Amino acid sequence: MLLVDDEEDFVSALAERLHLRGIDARIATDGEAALEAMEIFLPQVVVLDVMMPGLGGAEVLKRIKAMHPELPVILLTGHGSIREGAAGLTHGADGYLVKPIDIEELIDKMRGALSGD
Amino acid sequence: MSSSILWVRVHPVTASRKNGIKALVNFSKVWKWLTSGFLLHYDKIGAADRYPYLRRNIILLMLAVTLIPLTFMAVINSHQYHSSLKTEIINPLYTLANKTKHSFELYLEERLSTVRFIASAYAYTELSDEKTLNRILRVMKTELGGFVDLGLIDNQAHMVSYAGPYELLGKTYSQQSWYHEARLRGTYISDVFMGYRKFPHIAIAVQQFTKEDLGWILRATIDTGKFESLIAAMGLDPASDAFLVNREGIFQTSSKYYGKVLERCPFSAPLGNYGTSVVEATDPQGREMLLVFARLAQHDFSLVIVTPRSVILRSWYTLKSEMFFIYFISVGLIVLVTLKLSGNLVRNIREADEKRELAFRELEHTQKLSSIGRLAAGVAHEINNPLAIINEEAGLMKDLVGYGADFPQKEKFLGLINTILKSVDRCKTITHRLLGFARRMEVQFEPLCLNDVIQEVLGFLEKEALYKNVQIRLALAEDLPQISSDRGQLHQVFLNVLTNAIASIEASGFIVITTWQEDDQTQGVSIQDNGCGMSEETLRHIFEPFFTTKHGYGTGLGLPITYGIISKLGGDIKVRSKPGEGTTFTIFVPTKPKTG
Amino acid sequence: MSEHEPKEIVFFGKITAGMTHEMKNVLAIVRESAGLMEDLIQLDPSSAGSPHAGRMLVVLKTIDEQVNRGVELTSRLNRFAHHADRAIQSFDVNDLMQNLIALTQRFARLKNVTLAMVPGPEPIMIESRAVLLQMVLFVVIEAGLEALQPGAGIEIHPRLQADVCDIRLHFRDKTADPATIAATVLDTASEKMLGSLLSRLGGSADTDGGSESLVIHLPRRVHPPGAFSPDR
Repeated sequence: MLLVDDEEDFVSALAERLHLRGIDARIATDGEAALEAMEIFLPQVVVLDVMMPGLGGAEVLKRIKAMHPELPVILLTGHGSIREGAAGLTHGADGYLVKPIDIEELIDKMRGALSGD
Repeated sequence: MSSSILWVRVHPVTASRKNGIKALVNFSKVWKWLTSGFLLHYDKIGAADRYPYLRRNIILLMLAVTLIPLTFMAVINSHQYHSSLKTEIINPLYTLANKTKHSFELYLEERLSTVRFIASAYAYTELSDEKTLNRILRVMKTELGGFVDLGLIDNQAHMVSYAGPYELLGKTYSQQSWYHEARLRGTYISDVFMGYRKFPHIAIAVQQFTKEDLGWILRATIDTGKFESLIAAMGLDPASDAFLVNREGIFQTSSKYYGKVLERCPFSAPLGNYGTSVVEATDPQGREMLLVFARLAQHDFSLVIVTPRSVILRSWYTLKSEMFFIYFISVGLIVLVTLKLSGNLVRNIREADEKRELAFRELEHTQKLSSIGRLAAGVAHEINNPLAIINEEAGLMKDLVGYGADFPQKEKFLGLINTILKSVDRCKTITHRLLGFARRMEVQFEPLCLNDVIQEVLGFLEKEALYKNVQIRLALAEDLPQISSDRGQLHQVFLNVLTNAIASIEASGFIVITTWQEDDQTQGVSIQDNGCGMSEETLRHIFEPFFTTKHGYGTGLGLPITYGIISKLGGDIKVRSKPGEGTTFTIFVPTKPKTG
Repeated sequence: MSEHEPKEIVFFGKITAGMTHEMKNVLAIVRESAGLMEDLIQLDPSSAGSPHAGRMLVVLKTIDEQVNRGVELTSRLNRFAHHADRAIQSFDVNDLMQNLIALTQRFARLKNVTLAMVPGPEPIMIESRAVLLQMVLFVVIEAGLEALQPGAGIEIHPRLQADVCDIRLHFRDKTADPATIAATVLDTASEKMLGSLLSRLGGSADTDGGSESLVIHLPRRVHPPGAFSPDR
């Protein structure tokens, strides 16, 4: 999977933890880098932070969905409200998690997205 | 003029106690209503209608309170004055009439007693002698005056002796009613008659008896010239007239305006009056006249004084017109002042209300802000607790990893622990900023000089600038006037901008700070650096909260907070930048606090 | 239809919201870092059983717990900050009270007074000014904290009755009679402009006829300013 978040410490620790659980996770620290990376290797799931400088999370989501409509995207957000999550879902996201996340929850969501929930 | 009487309906107090109590209760209710000032309470009325309503009520109240008593007083006063005026004019006339009446009475009485005296003092035989009669007449004329002739009439009603200018000797009076009246009464005074030679005369007759008990009459005629002089002696004004009338209303003296002697007087005497009375009547020319009738005691003559009402009332008319004038001017003034004053008053009240409402909202607003600020500050403090614990635990981890046996992941672990510690620091900064921001929600104004504030901030940054080899050049306006602003907030603003400027300089460079008076209301400060500059894209976002080009450190809060402070102070902030060349921040600070 | 809230409050709301997001990002970093260390220790066969490993796991667990605490606080603050965006909105009074208590817990703790809420059985949805309502409660709570002795407690009971929402505050203090405290608190709060704040909510406060609590009455719907106020 591809993890996209501008906080490097966060994504690198998370990626390593996923590795330890047998999940291949690559990281990108901004939207453009993420899109570029996707041209090289296509992940099965993208985990995307919505609040990023430069190409914002929403824009990246749009582009990913434009290029790969079937690709599941899970959003990471700092918002706690249902409203924001729902808004994310209407834009095509396949799930969302509130930061700071529970790694087990992430894995569950990922499995669910992959099995076509 | 008849006086008008105000009739006030008075509710009869019934004997029943119940009714009495009811009446009392009602009365107190009405009293309460009247004194509640209901007219001036406008709480229950909408804002738009409130002030016209208030103004209208104030005007009505003021006009009522001033005009009603004024009118009342004016009416009463004029009424009083009118009546007292009448009395004042009438009283002298009364007195005059009475006095003159007395003079007339006296005159007639004197003449009568003289004739009576003569008739008593002299015997019939003596008086029959014409020479004696003549002598007596002569004496009467010289001593007393007014006598025209003297005649002796025997009991056969023949004039047997005569002294005087007329040819009356031998005349018989048996047909004359006066003769019989004289014989009956003993004395007689006639009305005025036209004597021979057409002069008005009055005859006085006195009866006497001879030794033989035969009745004889001594008759004297007097002329009425004295009457005229008595009337003239009254000294009436030219417009007035006075004369004598008899019971039938025939002039006994000539009236100035109303007829000659023995003509009929157009005014009729009041009936049944035996004293002096005043009557109002209209004369033949239609003028309103005041008549004083004074009836003589012993004879049916009345002295009449006729005065035009206008003369009496002349001063009343002057007063009346003066009073009207004053009254209407007063009313006009009162109305004018009331309207103007109420308008001003209500306008002032409205402004005061609006100001108070505004101040209230400001206060509420401030309260709100400070409440929010306090809440947020509370939470921020609260968050420090878990952070502190994380800090401690991470420190402990560090020790455990450090002191433990060399294990393979040591480096990694230390790296992760450091990440944690750095994160805690980051949080601390954020909460500090938030706390500072919350504390600063209220702006406190004081007089200060921008140049001084900048110097103070430079004091904080001296070391850092020196360390980074940044030259600070000052182009501060001399004699920059003092302004009223918040020192603490301005510190924060300049601190933020200068920190950014210093941070944007890589190795060495300079910062130019300029201050100037932009216009009457504003002063300007520009902070220019020759650092790395910003792209157009960056420029667009720099005031957004949490936008930062420094990843990992820098909260992205500095400039948004700066922007917030400046806008709260009522100023403005502008940026110009070119990548590779540098950035200039221009800040405009108002000289006086701007409310709202 | 929302009213235009003064821009400082909106601004502050935004700043605070941003701050809470940032905090969450940072907390996420801490969680993942600690989580990674946990994973590494547990996955490493050599160190898994060692006492150091045990200690470290405890430490990391503590860190994770504190992260939770931080998350909770920032979430609450976040919600509070979002409320500052719009004046009149729909919300659940139970939630709002919960939020408020979490936010003001610190003040109560400093005075050694317990602050608790007994929520209604169902959500109490009203249309009103959330921030203002929280301020009102805050003013009352502050006044309560002033009047109470250490060891005392404040209980908040929100309830819905027909078209009115009643928020009952009960003050328990061993040294004084609840009705007296309620009356004192009402007086103190009124000095702090409780009345004017409540009037903007269309509500009122009283001691409910000496029933030993302070009650705040709120209409289910608050109306934007009407004919009386100078707002045009």
